[in-house]
Amino acid sequence: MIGVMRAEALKLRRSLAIIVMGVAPVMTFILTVLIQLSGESPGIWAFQMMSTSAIWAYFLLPMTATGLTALLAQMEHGPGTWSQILATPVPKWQVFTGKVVMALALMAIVTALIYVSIFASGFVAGWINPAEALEGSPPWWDAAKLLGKMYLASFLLIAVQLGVALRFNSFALPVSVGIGGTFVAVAATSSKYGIFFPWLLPVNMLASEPERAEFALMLGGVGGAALLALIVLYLSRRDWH
Amino acid sequence: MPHSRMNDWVIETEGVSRRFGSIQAVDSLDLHVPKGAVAGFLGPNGAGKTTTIRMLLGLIRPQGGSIRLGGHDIHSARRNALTGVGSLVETPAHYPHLTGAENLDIACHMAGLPRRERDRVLDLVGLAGAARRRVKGYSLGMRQRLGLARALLGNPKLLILDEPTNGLDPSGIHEMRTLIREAPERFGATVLVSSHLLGEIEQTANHVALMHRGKLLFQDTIAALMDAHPGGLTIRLDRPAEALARVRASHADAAQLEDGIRLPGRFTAAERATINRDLVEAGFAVSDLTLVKPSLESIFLERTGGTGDLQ
Repeated sequence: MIGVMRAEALKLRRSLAIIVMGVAPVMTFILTVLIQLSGESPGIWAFQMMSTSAIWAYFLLPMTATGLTALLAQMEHGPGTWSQILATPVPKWQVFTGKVVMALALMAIVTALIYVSIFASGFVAGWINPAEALEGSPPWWDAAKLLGKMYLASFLLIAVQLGVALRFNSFALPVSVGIGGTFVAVAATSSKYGIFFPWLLPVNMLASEPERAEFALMLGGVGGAALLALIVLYLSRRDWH
Repeated sequence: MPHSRMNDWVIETEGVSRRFGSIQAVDSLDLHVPKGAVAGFLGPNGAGKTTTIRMLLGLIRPQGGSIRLGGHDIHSARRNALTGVGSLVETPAHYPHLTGAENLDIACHMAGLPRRERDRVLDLVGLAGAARRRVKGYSLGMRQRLGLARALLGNPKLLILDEPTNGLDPSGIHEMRTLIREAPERFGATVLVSSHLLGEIEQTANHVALMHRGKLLFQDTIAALMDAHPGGLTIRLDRPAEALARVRASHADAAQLEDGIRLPGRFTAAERATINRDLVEAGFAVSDLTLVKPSLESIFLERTGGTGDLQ
Protein backbone atom coordinates (compact mmCIF):
# COMPACT_ATOMS: atom_id res chain seq x y z
CA MET A 1 0.00 0.00 0.00
CA ILE A 2 2.95 2.33 0.67
CA GLY A 3 4.13 1.78 -2.90
CA VAL A 4 0.67 2.63 -4.22
CA MET A 5 0.64 5.87 -2.20
CA ARG A 6 4.13 6.81 -3.40
CA ALA A 7 2.95 6.25 -6.96
CA GLU A 8 -0.16 8.38 -6.35
CA ALA A 9 1.96 11.18 -4.89
CA LEU A 10 4.32 11.10 -7.87
CA LYS A 11 1.41 11.40 -10.30
CA LEU A 12 0.54 14.78 -8.74
CA ARG A 13 3.87 16.28 -9.78
CA ARG A 14 3.24 19.15 -12.24
CA SER A 15 -0.47 18.26 -12.31
CA LEU A 16 -3.38 20.71 -12.32
CA ALA A 17 -4.51 19.29 -8.98
CA ILE A 18 -1.75 21.24 -7.24
CA ILE A 19 -3.09 24.50 -8.68
CA VAL A 20 -6.68 23.58 -7.82
CA MET A 21 -5.60 23.02 -4.22
CA GLY A 22 -4.42 26.61 -4.00
CA VAL A 23 -7.47 28.25 -5.57
CA ALA A 24 -9.90 28.09 -2.63
CA PRO A 25 -7.44 29.31 0.05
CA VAL A 26 -6.28 32.20 -2.15
CA MET A 27 -9.84 33.19 -3.03
CA THR A 28 -10.87 33.00 0.62
CA PHE A 29 -7.92 35.13 1.62
CA ILE A 30 -8.61 37.85 -0.98
CA LEU A 31 -12.37 37.89 -0.34
CA THR A 32 -11.98 38.10 3.42
CA VAL A 33 -9.39 40.88 3.27
CA LEU A 34 -11.61 42.92 0.95
CA ILE A 35 -14.70 42.39 3.15
CA GLN A 36 -12.77 43.38 6.25
CA LEU A 37 -11.29 46.48 4.64
CA SER A 38 -14.66 47.62 3.32
CA GLY A 39 -16.35 47.39 6.75
CA GLU A 40 -17.46 50.60 8.43
CA SER A 41 -16.50 49.44 11.88
CA PRO A 42 -13.97 46.89 13.10
CA GLY A 43 -15.25 43.29 13.08
CA ILE A 44 -14.55 40.55 15.55
CA TRP A 45 -12.51 37.38 15.06
CA ALA A 46 -15.38 35.00 15.82
CA PHE A 47 -17.57 36.54 13.10
CA GLN A 48 -14.68 36.53 10.66
CA MET A 49 -14.16 32.81 11.29
CA MET A 50 -17.86 31.97 10.87
CA SER A 51 -18.34 33.95 7.66
CA THR A 52 -15.19 32.60 6.03
CA SER A 53 -16.09 29.04 7.02
CA ALA A 54 -19.56 29.53 5.55
CA ILE A 55 -18.12 30.60 2.19
CA TRP A 56 -15.84 27.58 2.30
CA ALA A 57 -18.54 25.09 3.24
CA TYR A 58 -21.22 26.40 0.89
CA PHE A 59 -19.28 26.90 -2.31
CA LEU A 60 -15.55 26.41 -2.23
CA LEU A 61 -15.45 23.03 -0.47
CA PRO A 62 -17.86 21.29 -2.88
CA MET A 63 -16.21 22.87 -5.90
CA THR A 64 -12.72 21.98 -4.66
CA ALA A 65 -13.83 18.39 -3.99
CA THR A 66 -15.35 18.27 -7.47
CA GLY A 67 -12.19 19.54 -9.15
CA LEU A 68 -9.73 17.43 -7.19
CA THR A 69 -11.63 14.15 -7.46
CA ALA A 70 -12.25 14.69 -11.18
CA LEU A 71 -8.56 15.41 -11.79
CA LEU A 72 -7.41 12.43 -9.71
CA ALA A 73 -9.66 10.09 -11.67
CA GLN A 74 -9.00 11.69 -15.03
CA MET A 75 -5.31 10.81 -14.81
CA GLU A 76 -6.28 7.16 -15.20
CA HIS A 77 -9.03 7.56 -17.77
CA GLY A 78 -6.64 7.81 -20.72
CA PRO A 79 -6.78 4.91 -23.21
CA GLY A 80 -5.48 1.77 -21.55
CA THR A 81 -4.35 3.38 -18.28
CA TRP A 82 -6.67 1.46 -15.99
CA SER A 83 -5.83 -1.78 -17.81
CA GLN A 84 -2.15 -1.15 -17.28
CA ILE A 85 -2.50 -0.47 -13.56
CA LEU A 86 -4.95 -3.26 -12.88
CA ALA A 87 -2.94 -5.87 -14.79
CA THR A 88 -0.23 -5.73 -12.12
CA PRO A 89 -0.03 -8.02 -9.09
CA VAL A 90 -1.07 -5.11 -6.83
CA PRO A 91 -4.52 -5.98 -5.44
CA LYS A 92 -7.21 -3.93 -7.16
CA TRP A 93 -8.66 -2.74 -3.86
CA GLN A 94 -5.29 -1.19 -3.02
CA VAL A 95 -5.27 0.75 -6.29
CA PHE A 96 -8.70 2.26 -5.58
CA THR A 97 -8.01 2.75 -1.89
CA GLY A 98 -4.95 4.74 -2.97
CA LYS A 99 -7.26 7.09 -4.89
CA VAL A 100 -9.59 7.43 -1.90
CA VAL A 101 -6.74 8.15 0.52
CA MET A 102 -5.22 10.68 -1.88
CA ALA A 103 -8.55 12.48 -2.36
CA LEU A 104 -9.09 12.69 1.40
CA ALA A 105 -5.48 13.78 1.97
CA LEU A 106 -5.70 16.57 -0.62
CA MET A 107 -8.97 17.83 0.88
CA ALA A 108 -7.35 17.75 4.33
CA ILE A 109 -4.46 19.86 3.02
CA VAL A 110 -6.84 22.39 1.44
CA THR A 111 -8.80 22.53 4.71
CA ALA A 112 -5.56 23.28 6.55
CA LEU A 113 -4.78 26.03 4.05
CA ILE A 114 -8.27 27.52 4.60
CA TYR A 115 -7.49 27.54 8.32
CA VAL A 116 -4.29 29.47 7.62
CA SER A 117 -6.18 31.76 5.25
CA ILE A 118 -8.76 32.72 7.89
CA PHE A 119 -6.11 34.07 10.23
CA ALA A 120 -3.73 35.37 7.59
CA SER A 121 -6.49 37.47 6.01
CA GLY A 122 -7.47 38.88 9.42
CA PHE A 123 -3.90 39.86 10.27
CA VAL A 124 -3.07 41.23 6.80
CA ALA A 125 -6.23 43.38 6.68
CA GLY A 126 -5.40 44.71 10.15
CA TRP A 127 -1.86 45.47 9.00
CA ILE A 128 -3.09 47.30 5.87
CA ASN A 129 -5.60 49.36 7.84
CA PRO A 130 -5.10 49.17 11.60
CA ALA A 131 -8.50 50.83 12.10
CA GLU A 132 -10.11 47.68 10.66
CA ALA A 133 -8.11 45.25 12.82
CA LEU A 134 -10.30 42.49 14.23
CA GLU A 135 -11.27 42.65 17.85
CA GLY A 136 -10.97 39.88 20.39
CA SER A 137 -8.50 37.03 20.45
CA PRO A 138 -8.05 34.82 17.39
CA PRO A 139 -10.19 31.66 17.78
CA TRP A 140 -7.40 29.21 16.97
CA TRP A 141 -9.02 26.17 18.53
CA ASP A 142 -12.64 26.94 17.54
CA ALA A 143 -11.62 27.40 13.92
CA ALA A 144 -9.69 24.13 13.93
CA LYS A 145 -12.70 22.28 15.42
CA LEU A 146 -15.16 23.84 13.00
CA LEU A 147 -13.08 23.21 9.87
CA GLY A 148 -12.24 19.70 11.09
CA LYS A 149 -15.93 18.86 11.45
CA MET A 150 -16.68 20.34 8.04
CA TYR A 151 -13.95 18.15 6.60
CA LEU A 152 -15.37 14.99 8.20
CA ALA A 153 -18.92 15.91 7.18
CA SER A 154 -17.75 16.31 3.57
CA PHE A 155 -16.75 12.62 3.27
CA LEU A 156 -20.15 11.72 1.78
CA LEU A 157 -19.88 14.50 -0.78
CA ILE A 158 -16.29 13.45 -1.59
CA ALA A 159 -17.43 9.83 -1.91
CA VAL A 160 -20.18 10.75 -4.38
CA GLN A 161 -17.85 12.91 -6.45
CA LEU A 162 -14.98 10.42 -6.42
CA GLY A 163 -17.29 7.49 -7.21
CA VAL A 164 -18.75 9.26 -10.24
CA ALA A 165 -15.32 10.44 -11.38
CA LEU A 166 -13.73 6.98 -11.11
CA ARG A 167 -16.64 5.05 -12.59
CA PHE A 168 -17.24 7.16 -15.68
CA ASN A 169 -14.63 7.98 -18.28
CA SER A 170 -15.72 11.60 -18.47
CA PHE A 171 -14.56 14.88 -17.00
CA ALA A 172 -17.84 16.64 -17.73
CA LEU A 173 -20.04 14.24 -15.72
CA PRO A 174 -18.44 14.63 -12.26
CA VAL A 175 -18.05 18.37 -12.81
CA SER A 176 -21.73 18.65 -13.75
CA VAL A 177 -22.72 16.65 -10.68
CA GLY A 178 -20.54 18.90 -8.51
CA ILE A 179 -21.86 22.16 -9.93
CA GLY A 180 -25.44 20.88 -9.82
CA GLY A 181 -25.08 19.67 -6.23
CA THR A 182 -23.55 22.96 -5.10
CA PHE A 183 -26.32 25.07 -6.57
CA VAL A 184 -29.14 22.77 -5.52
CA ALA A 185 -27.70 22.96 -2.01
CA VAL A 186 -28.45 26.69 -1.89
CA ALA A 187 -32.11 26.02 -2.65
CA ALA A 188 -32.22 23.00 -0.34
CA THR A 189 -30.94 24.92 2.69
CA SER A 190 -34.41 25.86 3.83
CA SER A 191 -35.86 22.41 3.18
CA LYS A 192 -36.34 20.12 6.18
CA TYR A 193 -34.81 17.34 4.08
CA GLY A 194 -31.76 19.45 3.27
CA ILE A 195 -29.98 17.73 6.15
CA PHE A 196 -29.76 14.60 3.99
CA PHE A 197 -28.23 16.36 1.02
CA PRO A 198 -24.49 15.51 0.82
CA TRP A 199 -23.52 18.99 -0.44
CA LEU A 200 -25.18 20.59 2.61
CA LEU A 201 -23.66 18.41 5.29
CA PRO A 202 -20.52 20.55 5.83
CA VAL A 203 -22.70 23.70 6.00
CA ASN A 204 -24.71 22.10 8.81
CA MET A 205 -21.65 22.33 11.04
CA LEU A 206 -22.68 25.99 11.39
CA ALA A 207 -26.22 25.05 12.51
CA SER A 208 -27.39 26.62 15.75
CA GLU A 209 -29.12 23.37 16.83
CA PRO A 210 -26.39 21.00 18.11
CA GLU A 211 -28.39 17.85 17.24
CA ARG A 212 -28.63 18.94 13.59
CA ALA A 213 -24.87 19.46 13.41
CA GLU A 214 -24.24 16.11 15.10
CA PHE A 215 -26.55 14.28 12.70
CA ALA A 216 -24.90 15.92 9.68
CA LEU A 217 -21.45 15.03 11.03
CA MET A 218 -22.50 11.42 11.56
CA LEU A 219 -24.19 11.10 8.16
CA GLY A 220 -21.35 12.81 6.32
CA GLY A 221 -18.49 11.12 8.16
CA VAL A 222 -19.73 7.59 8.77
CA GLY A 223 -21.95 7.50 5.68
CA GLY A 224 -19.12 8.85 3.57
CA ALA A 225 -16.64 6.30 4.89
CA ALA A 226 -19.13 3.51 4.23
CA LEU A 227 -19.83 4.74 0.71
CA LEU A 228 -16.10 5.05 0.00
CA ALA A 229 -15.62 1.43 1.10
CA LEU A 230 -18.48 0.33 -1.17
CA ILE A 231 -16.99 2.24 -4.09
CA VAL A 232 -13.62 0.53 -3.59
CA LEU A 233 -15.37 -2.85 -3.42
CA TYR A 234 -17.48 -2.19 -6.52
CA LEU A 235 -14.59 -0.88 -8.64
CA SER A 236 -12.37 -3.78 -7.58
CA ARG A 237 -14.92 -6.31 -8.78
CA ARG A 238 -16.13 -4.79 -12.04
CA ASP A 239 -14.75 -5.62 -15.49
CA TRP A 240 -12.32 -3.16 -17.03
CA HIS A 241 -12.69 -3.11 -20.81
CA MET B 1 -3.93 -29.94 -27.28
CA PRO B 2 -0.37 -29.47 -28.55
CA HIS B 3 2.25 -32.06 -27.77
CA SER B 4 4.03 -30.54 -24.76
CA ARG B 5 4.07 -31.67 -21.18
CA MET B 6 1.23 -30.31 -19.04
CA ASN B 7 3.51 -28.75 -16.40
CA ASP B 8 5.34 -26.76 -19.06
CA TRP B 9 2.38 -24.50 -19.79
CA VAL B 10 2.97 -20.90 -18.82
CA ILE B 11 -0.48 -19.94 -20.06
CA GLU B 12 -3.24 -22.47 -19.72
CA THR B 13 -6.93 -21.86 -20.28
CA GLU B 14 -9.70 -24.43 -20.15
CA GLY B 15 -13.08 -23.76 -21.73
CA VAL B 16 -12.88 -20.01 -21.30
CA SER B 17 -15.90 -18.15 -22.62
CA ARG B 18 -17.09 -14.59 -22.60
CA ARG B 19 -20.18 -13.06 -24.16
CA PHE B 20 -21.04 -9.36 -24.56
CA GLY B 21 -24.77 -9.10 -25.12
CA SER B 22 -25.57 -11.20 -28.16
CA ILE B 23 -21.94 -11.45 -29.25
CA GLN B 24 -19.92 -14.48 -28.19
CA ALA B 25 -16.51 -12.79 -28.01
CA VAL B 26 -14.64 -15.89 -26.81
CA ASP B 27 -16.03 -19.39 -27.05
CA SER B 28 -14.68 -22.36 -25.02
CA LEU B 29 -11.07 -21.35 -25.44
CA ASP B 30 -8.41 -23.93 -24.57
CA LEU B 31 -5.19 -22.00 -25.03
CA HIS B 32 -1.83 -23.47 -24.06
CA VAL B 33 1.46 -21.63 -24.33
CA PRO B 34 4.58 -23.63 -23.41
CA LYS B 35 7.49 -22.25 -21.42
CA GLY B 36 10.10 -20.49 -23.52
CA ALA B 37 7.85 -20.01 -26.54
CA VAL B 38 7.25 -16.89 -28.54
CA ALA B 39 3.62 -17.53 -29.29
CA GLY B 40 1.85 -15.50 -31.93
CA PHE B 41 -1.80 -14.91 -31.13
CA LEU B 42 -3.37 -14.33 -34.49
CA GLY B 43 -6.72 -13.30 -35.75
CA PRO B 44 -8.50 -10.51 -37.57
CA ASN B 45 -9.91 -7.54 -35.68
CA GLY B 46 -12.85 -8.72 -33.61
CA ALA B 47 -11.61 -12.32 -33.40
CA GLY B 48 -11.51 -12.16 -29.59
CA LYS B 49 -7.78 -11.66 -29.07
CA THR B 50 -7.98 -8.56 -26.91
CA THR B 51 -10.87 -9.97 -24.86
CA THR B 52 -8.78 -13.09 -24.28
CA ILE B 53 -5.76 -11.04 -23.25
CA ARG B 54 -7.90 -8.99 -20.87
CA MET B 55 -9.20 -12.20 -19.32
CA LEU B 56 -5.65 -13.56 -19.05
CA LEU B 57 -4.66 -10.43 -17.13
CA GLY B 58 -7.69 -10.55 -14.84
CA LEU B 59 -9.23 -7.37 -16.24
CA ILE B 60 -12.37 -9.14 -17.42
CA ARG B 61 -13.96 -12.14 -15.74
CA PRO B 62 -14.72 -15.08 -17.99
CA GLN B 63 -18.28 -16.39 -17.78
CA GLY B 64 -16.99 -19.93 -17.89
CA GLY B 65 -13.76 -21.89 -17.71
CA SER B 66 -10.47 -21.34 -15.91
CA ILE B 67 -7.24 -19.44 -16.56
CA ARG B 68 -3.85 -20.28 -15.10
CA LEU B 69 -0.67 -18.27 -15.51
CA GLY B 70 2.50 -20.01 -14.37
CA GLY B 71 0.28 -22.62 -12.73
CA HIS B 72 -1.68 -20.08 -10.65
CA ASP B 73 -5.38 -19.39 -11.15
CA ILE B 74 -5.88 -15.77 -12.22
CA HIS B 75 -8.87 -15.30 -9.92
CA SER B 76 -8.20 -17.35 -6.81
CA ALA B 77 -4.45 -16.59 -6.81
CA ARG B 78 -4.33 -13.35 -8.81
CA ARG B 79 -1.24 -11.96 -7.09
CA ASN B 80 0.85 -15.09 -7.73
CA ALA B 81 -0.49 -15.43 -11.25
CA LEU B 82 0.44 -11.86 -12.23
CA THR B 83 3.78 -11.75 -10.44
CA GLY B 84 6.44 -11.95 -13.12
CA VAL B 85 4.01 -11.00 -15.89
CA GLY B 86 4.73 -7.93 -18.01
CA SER B 87 2.02 -6.68 -20.31
CA LEU B 88 1.30 -4.14 -22.98
CA VAL B 89 -2.41 -3.97 -23.75
CA GLU B 90 -3.37 -2.08 -26.89
CA THR B 91 -2.31 1.59 -26.64
CA PRO B 92 0.51 2.05 -24.15
CA ALA B 93 -0.77 4.36 -21.42
CA HIS B 94 1.38 7.00 -19.79
CA TYR B 95 1.04 10.14 -17.70
CA PRO B 96 1.87 12.85 -20.25
CA HIS B 97 2.71 15.54 -17.67
CA LEU B 98 5.49 13.34 -16.26
CA THR B 99 8.82 12.37 -17.78
CA GLY B 100 9.54 8.91 -19.14
CA ALA B 101 11.64 8.16 -16.07
CA GLU B 102 8.89 9.33 -13.71
CA ASN B 103 6.36 7.16 -15.52
CA LEU B 104 8.56 4.15 -14.88
CA ASP B 105 9.13 5.29 -11.28
CA ILE B 106 5.38 4.98 -10.74
CA ALA B 107 5.45 1.39 -11.97
CA CYS B 108 8.56 0.70 -9.84
CA HIS B 109 6.88 2.11 -6.71
CA MET B 110 3.84 -0.07 -7.28
CA ALA B 111 5.91 -3.18 -7.91
CA GLY B 112 8.43 -2.43 -5.12
CA LEU B 113 11.34 -2.35 -7.56
CA PRO B 114 14.57 -0.34 -7.13
CA ARG B 115 15.35 2.70 -9.31
CA ARG B 116 18.20 0.92 -11.10
CA GLU B 117 15.59 -1.34 -12.66
CA ARG B 118 14.06 1.72 -14.30
CA ASP B 119 17.43 2.70 -15.78
CA ARG B 120 18.03 -0.84 -17.01
CA VAL B 121 14.81 -1.02 -19.03
CA LEU B 122 15.25 2.51 -20.38
CA ASP B 123 18.61 1.41 -21.78
CA LEU B 124 17.09 -1.77 -23.13
CA VAL B 125 14.49 0.04 -25.23
CA GLY B 126 16.83 2.86 -26.23
CA LEU B 127 15.06 5.63 -24.31
CA ALA B 128 17.79 6.51 -21.80
CA GLY B 129 18.53 9.75 -23.66
CA ALA B 130 14.89 10.88 -23.55
CA ALA B 131 14.19 9.74 -19.99
CA ARG B 132 14.07 13.31 -18.59
CA ARG B 133 11.67 14.60 -21.23
CA ARG B 134 7.96 14.82 -20.57
CA VAL B 135 6.00 12.08 -22.28
CA LYS B 136 3.62 14.56 -23.92
CA GLY B 137 6.55 15.43 -26.22
CA TYR B 138 7.22 11.79 -27.15
CA SER B 139 6.45 10.39 -30.59
CA LEU B 140 4.06 7.44 -30.90
CA GLY B 141 7.02 5.12 -31.34
CA MET B 142 8.72 6.44 -28.20
CA ARG B 143 5.51 5.94 -26.24
CA GLN B 144 5.32 2.38 -27.51
CA ARG B 145 8.92 1.77 -26.39
CA LEU B 146 8.16 3.25 -22.99
CA GLY B 147 5.19 0.88 -22.73
CA LEU B 148 7.47 -2.01 -23.54
CA ALA B 149 10.00 -0.75 -21.00
CA ARG B 150 7.29 -0.85 -18.36
CA ALA B 151 6.36 -4.38 -19.39
CA LEU B 152 10.02 -5.43 -19.01
CA LEU B 153 10.38 -4.06 -15.47
CA GLY B 154 11.38 -6.75 -12.99
CA ASN B 155 12.52 -9.27 -15.60
CA PRO B 156 9.11 -10.83 -16.25
CA LYS B 157 8.89 -14.54 -16.99
CA LEU B 158 5.84 -13.98 -19.17
CA LEU B 159 5.31 -11.09 -21.56
CA ILE B 160 1.81 -10.51 -22.91
CA LEU B 161 1.94 -7.99 -25.73
CA ASP B 162 -1.13 -6.81 -27.59
CA GLU B 163 -0.23 -5.39 -31.03
CA PRO B 164 3.18 -4.13 -29.83
CA THR B 165 4.34 -2.72 -33.17
CA ASN B 166 1.39 -0.34 -33.54
CA GLY B 167 2.67 3.12 -34.38
CA LEU B 168 6.31 2.16 -34.77
CA ASP B 169 8.38 3.23 -37.75
CA PRO B 170 10.18 0.53 -39.79
CA SER B 171 13.33 0.62 -37.66
CA GLY B 172 11.23 0.54 -34.48
CA ILE B 173 9.31 -2.44 -35.83
CA HIS B 174 12.58 -4.19 -36.58
CA GLU B 175 13.92 -3.52 -33.06
CA MET B 176 10.66 -4.64 -31.47
CA ARG B 177 10.65 -7.86 -33.48
CA THR B 178 14.23 -8.56 -32.48
CA LEU B 179 13.44 -7.91 -28.84
CA ILE B 180 10.43 -10.22 -28.92
CA ARG B 181 12.27 -12.96 -30.81
CA GLU B 182 15.20 -12.86 -28.39
CA ALA B 183 13.13 -12.53 -25.22
CA PRO B 184 13.32 -16.24 -24.26
CA GLU B 185 17.10 -16.29 -24.60
CA ARG B 186 17.90 -12.82 -23.23
CA PHE B 187 15.39 -12.62 -20.39
CA GLY B 188 14.21 -16.19 -19.97
CA ALA B 189 10.72 -14.98 -20.83
CA THR B 190 7.84 -16.67 -22.58
CA VAL B 191 6.01 -14.30 -24.91
CA LEU B 192 2.42 -14.16 -26.08
CA VAL B 193 2.18 -11.54 -28.80
CA SER B 194 -1.09 -10.74 -30.50
CA SER B 195 -1.36 -9.27 -33.94
CA HIS B 196 -3.62 -9.13 -36.94
CA LEU B 197 -0.51 -8.86 -39.12
CA LEU B 198 0.33 -12.43 -40.08
CA GLY B 199 3.67 -11.58 -41.67
CA GLU B 200 4.81 -10.04 -38.43
CA ILE B 201 4.08 -13.17 -36.43
CA GLU B 202 5.80 -15.28 -39.08
CA GLN B 203 8.98 -13.29 -38.42
CA THR B 204 8.93 -13.36 -34.62
CA ALA B 205 7.08 -16.38 -33.28
CA ASN B 206 7.84 -20.08 -33.09
CA HIS B 207 4.36 -21.03 -31.85
CA VAL B 208 1.05 -19.84 -33.12
CA ALA B 209 -2.56 -19.76 -32.00
CA LEU B 210 -5.12 -18.88 -34.65
CA MET B 211 -8.35 -17.33 -33.49
CA HIS B 212 -11.44 -16.55 -35.50
CA ARG B 213 -14.87 -15.40 -34.32
CA GLY B 214 -14.07 -16.24 -30.71
CA LYS B 215 -12.88 -19.77 -31.42
CA LEU B 216 -9.39 -21.20 -31.48
CA LEU B 217 -8.77 -22.74 -34.89
CA PHE B 218 -5.26 -24.03 -34.31
CA GLN B 219 -2.41 -23.92 -31.82
CA ASP B 220 1.00 -25.51 -31.98
CA THR B 221 4.41 -24.70 -33.39
CA ILE B 222 4.59 -22.81 -36.66
CA ALA B 223 6.55 -25.77 -38.03
CA ALA B 224 3.64 -28.08 -37.18
CA LEU B 225 1.22 -25.69 -38.85
CA MET B 226 3.36 -25.62 -41.98
CA ASP B 227 3.63 -29.42 -41.91
CA ALA B 228 -0.14 -29.61 -41.89
CA HIS B 229 -0.21 -27.32 -44.92
CA PRO B 230 2.57 -28.59 -47.17
CA GLY B 231 1.97 -26.19 -50.04
CA GLY B 232 2.47 -27.74 -53.46
CA LEU B 233 4.08 -27.75 -56.84
CA THR B 234 3.24 -25.22 -59.54
CA ILE B 235 3.99 -26.34 -63.08
CA ARG B 236 3.92 -23.86 -65.97
CA LEU B 237 3.19 -25.55 -69.30
CA ASP B 238 1.09 -25.33 -72.43
CA ARG B 239 -2.38 -26.96 -72.68
CA PRO B 240 -3.05 -26.89 -68.89
CA ALA B 241 -6.49 -28.52 -69.22
CA GLU B 242 -5.03 -31.59 -70.92
CA ALA B 243 -2.18 -31.72 -68.44
CA LEU B 244 -4.64 -31.57 -65.56
CA ALA B 245 -6.63 -34.50 -66.94
CA ARG B 246 -3.40 -36.47 -67.25
CA VAL B 247 -2.04 -35.82 -63.75
CA ARG B 248 -5.41 -36.34 -62.01
CA ALA B 249 -4.87 -40.08 -62.29
CA SER B 250 -2.09 -39.83 -59.74
CA HIS B 251 -3.01 -36.48 -58.08
CA ALA B 252 -6.77 -36.29 -57.67
CA ASP B 253 -6.69 -32.89 -55.96
CA ALA B 254 -4.65 -31.16 -58.67
CA ALA B 255 -6.00 -27.83 -59.90
CA GLN B 256 -5.74 -25.91 -63.12
CA LEU B 257 -4.12 -22.47 -63.28
CA GLU B 258 -4.24 -19.98 -66.13
CA ASP B 259 -0.84 -21.01 -67.46
CA GLY B 260 -0.29 -24.33 -65.78
CA ILE B 261 -1.38 -26.67 -63.01
CA ARG B 262 -0.96 -26.87 -59.21
CA LEU B 263 -0.38 -30.15 -57.36
CA PRO B 264 -0.93 -29.87 -53.60
CA GLY B 265 1.38 -31.79 -51.29
CA ARG B 266 5.05 -32.26 -50.58
CA PHE B 267 7.42 -33.33 -53.35
CA THR B 268 10.97 -34.59 -53.20
CA ALA B 269 13.47 -33.71 -55.93
CA ALA B 270 13.08 -37.20 -57.39
CA GLU B 271 9.30 -36.92 -57.45
CA ARG B 272 9.52 -33.54 -59.17
CA ALA B 273 11.88 -35.00 -61.77
CA THR B 274 9.49 -37.91 -62.42
CA ILE B 275 6.49 -35.60 -62.87
CA ASN B 276 8.51 -33.38 -65.20
CA ARG B 277 9.71 -36.34 -67.29
CA ASP B 278 6.19 -37.80 -67.60
CA LEU B 279 4.77 -34.48 -68.78
CA VAL B 280 7.59 -33.83 -71.25
CA GLU B 281 7.34 -37.39 -72.64
CA ALA B 282 3.58 -36.81 -73.08
CA GLY B 283 4.40 -33.85 -75.31
CA PHE B 284 3.78 -30.93 -72.96
CA ALA B 285 6.14 -27.94 -73.10
CA VAL B 286 7.06 -27.55 -69.43
CA SER B 287 8.62 -24.14 -68.80
CA ASP B 288 8.83 -24.03 -65.00
CA LEU B 289 8.41 -26.13 -61.86
CA THR B 290 8.13 -24.18 -58.59
CA LEU B 291 7.73 -25.48 -55.08
CA VAL B 292 5.12 -23.31 -53.31
CA LYS B 293 5.57 -22.77 -49.57
CA PRO B 294 2.35 -21.74 -47.79
CA SER B 295 2.29 -18.46 -45.87
CA LEU B 296 0.53 -17.97 -42.56
CA GLU B 297 -1.88 -15.74 -44.43
CA SER B 298 -2.80 -18.38 -46.98
CA ILE B 299 -3.20 -20.98 -44.22
CA PHE B 300 -5.31 -18.63 -42.16
CA LEU B 301 -7.55 -17.81 -45.12
CA GLU B 302 -7.86 -21.49 -45.93
CA ARG B 303 -8.81 -22.33 -42.33
CA THR B 304 -11.37 -19.55 -42.10
CA GLY B 305 -12.83 -20.35 -45.49
CA GLY B 306 -11.48 -17.08 -46.86
CA THR B 307 -13.37 -14.98 -44.31
CA GLY B 308 -10.41 -13.92 -42.25
CA ASP B 309 -11.06 -10.28 -43.06
CA LEU B 310 -7.38 -9.62 -42.72
CA GLN B 311 -5.98 -6.16 -42.99
